[in-house]
Amino acid sequence: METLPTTDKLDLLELKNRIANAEAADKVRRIAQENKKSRKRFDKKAHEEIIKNHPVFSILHLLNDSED
Amino acid sequence: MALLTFESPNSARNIANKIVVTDTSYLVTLSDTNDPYYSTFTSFHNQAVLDGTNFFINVIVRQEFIKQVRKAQLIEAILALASSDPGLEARYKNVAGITRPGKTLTASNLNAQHDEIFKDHVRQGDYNILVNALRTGIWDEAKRIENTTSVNYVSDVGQISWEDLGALMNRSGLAPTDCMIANFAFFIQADAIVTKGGCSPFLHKFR
Repeated sequence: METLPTTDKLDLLELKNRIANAEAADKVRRIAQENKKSRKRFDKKAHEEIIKNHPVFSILHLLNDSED
Repeated sequence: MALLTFESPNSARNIANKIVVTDTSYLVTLSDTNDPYYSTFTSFHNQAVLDGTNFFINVIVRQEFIKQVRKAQLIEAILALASSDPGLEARYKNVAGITRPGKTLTASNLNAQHDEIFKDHVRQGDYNILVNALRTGIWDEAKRIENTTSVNYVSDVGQISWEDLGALMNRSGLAPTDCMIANFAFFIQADAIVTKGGCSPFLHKFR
């Protein structure tokens, strides 16, 4: 298989990255628009119900991941 | 990209209607009512979401958060088993290297030892004792927390090759996880990264 010269490879990679970047930003902004439409909120009551029902969350602050 | 912190409810206005990326420490603090910053964090987060801020995480943050919850879950189970069975308590202390008389097992001193205890159960062929003591469905709860806190998970974007990651680590001196989060933020063209400790050292290194 014929290989492209290095400079062309870099150009292609740069182009691919730019397209992927634009697509990612577009995807995120679409989600943001949907959130706005659906008026997403921080459901504090439901959130606290989850974490209080599972005491496992109550020791997270004691742990650090530096050992991992 | 802006450098923002959670330090007061007013600072939430700085990110009104913006796209921001959070890290694991943010989710951890938001999920632990015993964390000294829990109240400040929930006020900040509530105001920010009300102001239209969109919080995003990527796969590395989700994975790190689940890993932290798993650790807490194992430690909770180990402590429960030890308190109900003096034989297990003695065994766990031995594995954890706690030899001083009167010193008890705690979540803090199990922080670095929980996996050794898990491995000991595997070696002894009785890991079902520990597995059966796990009470939380980590995966389901982590997803529910993302939903209730309006934190959006985005997959398959901002992936970085190991060669590029290595170059970023060399340039910034940051850990792989932090490099991946920063890269994700730049990739989705986020306005800021919000972490427990603010974000200035994090991002200045990337400029």
